Amino acid sequence: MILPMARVQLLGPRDLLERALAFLQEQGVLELRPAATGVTGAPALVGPCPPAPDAADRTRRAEEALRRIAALCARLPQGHGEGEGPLSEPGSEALLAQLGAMEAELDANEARRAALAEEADAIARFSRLVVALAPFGHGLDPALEPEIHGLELRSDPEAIALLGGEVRRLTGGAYELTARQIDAERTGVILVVPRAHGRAVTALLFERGVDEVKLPAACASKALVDVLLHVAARSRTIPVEQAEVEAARSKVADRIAGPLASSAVAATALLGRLSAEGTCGATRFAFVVTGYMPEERVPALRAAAAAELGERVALLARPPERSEWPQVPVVLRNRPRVRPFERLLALVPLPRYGSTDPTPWLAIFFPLFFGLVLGDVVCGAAGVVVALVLRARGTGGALGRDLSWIALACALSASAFGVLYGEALGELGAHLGMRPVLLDRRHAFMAFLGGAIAVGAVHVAIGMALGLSGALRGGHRREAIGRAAKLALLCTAGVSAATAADLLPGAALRPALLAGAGFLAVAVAAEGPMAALELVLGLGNVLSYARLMALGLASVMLAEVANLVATTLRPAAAGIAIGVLLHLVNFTLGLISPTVAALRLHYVEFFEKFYDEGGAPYRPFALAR
Amino acid sequence: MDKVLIAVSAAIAVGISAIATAWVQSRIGAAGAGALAEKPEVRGAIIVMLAIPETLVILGFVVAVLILTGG
Repeated sequence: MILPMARVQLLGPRDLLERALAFLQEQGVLELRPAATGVTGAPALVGPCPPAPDAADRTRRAEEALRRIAALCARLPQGHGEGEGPLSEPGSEALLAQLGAMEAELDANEARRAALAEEADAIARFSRLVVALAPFGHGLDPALEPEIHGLELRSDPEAIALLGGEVRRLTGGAYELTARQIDAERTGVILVVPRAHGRAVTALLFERGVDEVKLPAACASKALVDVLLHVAARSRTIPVEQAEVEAARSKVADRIAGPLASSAVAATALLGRLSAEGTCGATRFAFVVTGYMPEERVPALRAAAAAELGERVALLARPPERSEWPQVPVVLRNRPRVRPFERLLALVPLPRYGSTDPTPWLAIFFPLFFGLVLGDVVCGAAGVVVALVLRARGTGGALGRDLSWIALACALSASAFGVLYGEALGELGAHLGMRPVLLDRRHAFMAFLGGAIAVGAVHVAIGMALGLSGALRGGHRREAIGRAAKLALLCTAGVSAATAADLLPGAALRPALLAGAGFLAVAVAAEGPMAALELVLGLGNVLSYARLMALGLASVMLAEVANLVATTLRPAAAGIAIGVLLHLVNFTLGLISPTVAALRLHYVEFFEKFYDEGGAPYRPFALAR
Repeated sequence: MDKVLIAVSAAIAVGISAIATAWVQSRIGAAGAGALAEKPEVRGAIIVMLAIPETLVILGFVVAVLILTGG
């Protein structure tokens, strides 16, 4: 059913508007509507609520805070701590200042982290060079203040000789170059030059695109021995410092992750309230918040409003007028065993408020049609097992639970029809002693066809009755008369068909035809000449249910073919294997075809008679969770 | 000879309607795939539209059964 809704108005003095909106947001039950629409005479008394003087600034600051919080959270490792307490109010400058301080702290931490990583990398590469070239020494005069350049080059003797020539030209021969293979592709090179030529050599290496292993700045102007000692010492201390930086980073995350998340929620809520203010109505001294909510929750909201906001605020509620129905949001409420079938409605737009929720009918006829088509004890039992396993495992969350419930209903229906048809993997059931209770659809084609069309006629008639009921509820008398006439005409057509099939005495034919002509005249008088065309379409709708018989017959014939292959093909093992394969194919088709056919029969043939689509989903004003 | 004519008639009834359904579904399927790529929310309408021309072959099948069974 479609839950009855109430149009609710919360009225109070202007100074309480912000508190009232915060209260409604916390309650999360009211879907807001602009106050000026849908209330008779309201535009003359109530105008749109003017924004607060600082609303634009608060909105800007809250949006900026949200952006910066998202950026900060993306930079943080996973924080688990509760934090050091809430941040300042969202939309305030104080919050932005706090965020700035956090950003600066993180910037410093990240800068230190990057510097240590860079130094560790440089030291690792330099150590690799030193290890490759050890024992290492140079014969340059200490008075020239030798400067060490570490290089990693491709193993190319010509390139190294060329480099040596260039450096000789720059330094006048005062240099020393030591090269040794690091691995199959790279050669490590230590180049020692006087400090006076150091800059020129660095420029040369840069121009030639040589990958220089830069030493940490602390090694600049140090003697080789001191450099080696420094490298050894830093190799030990850098991991410790890196661990300290990571610990500090985790500590920061633990401290600020919680408050940041809370602040993001608060900022989102503030933006929601500021936006909601625009939908409120106001007079000079009072405000009015208008919206729709489930009628059953109005007393609880009224009590909560009285407790939270006191007597200065009043809550008015009334059922929506018929003219408002197109705007009223829709909430479906069905019994727990029927509710999973609401998923099948997700493929079509929601029904409008005030119209009929077809979910209970879907819960009856969808499994019925499925079983009527598949109708096999073994396939049904396999479906039951699959559905129960999926349900027990909780596959697919809430959606999976609902779908497995639908599958279970369909599989049970298929098993029941299997008993009625006396089928288990086609005619295999007959060999095992099963006898058809209702009909043997492998041979009684016409009875099966008649049964499918009769089920269709009943389904369409129910749809027409629901349409008639909707027209009466909506107060459309002429439409209701037309629909009633068409429904009666369908019944007389059914009586005529039953008479022709010798299910009713032949004497009933004439009165049925006369009554049918009368009902046709009433329908044309009520709805115009198009009613006659609709009757032809209605007949097509009923005949469309013949697909239930066609698909069912195809299913049982495929099972028979599988059995035939299994028993006649030689060697026997190959025959059985192909037979089993065909049964699996039949089972798979038996899951898909009846589902699509049953959905189509509902969406096209059944819904066409009464379904009034276009309802808006219920989206209450609430905190983002 | 009568049996042959009956069988051919039934085959024509179901065959031509099957070809018609296949042709219509190919057009609807292609257009529906394009529409789904841009607006996934219309999947329900596409399924319904794709299933509508099935009525042709179902009615053809019913006619074929009536021919075969002499109903």
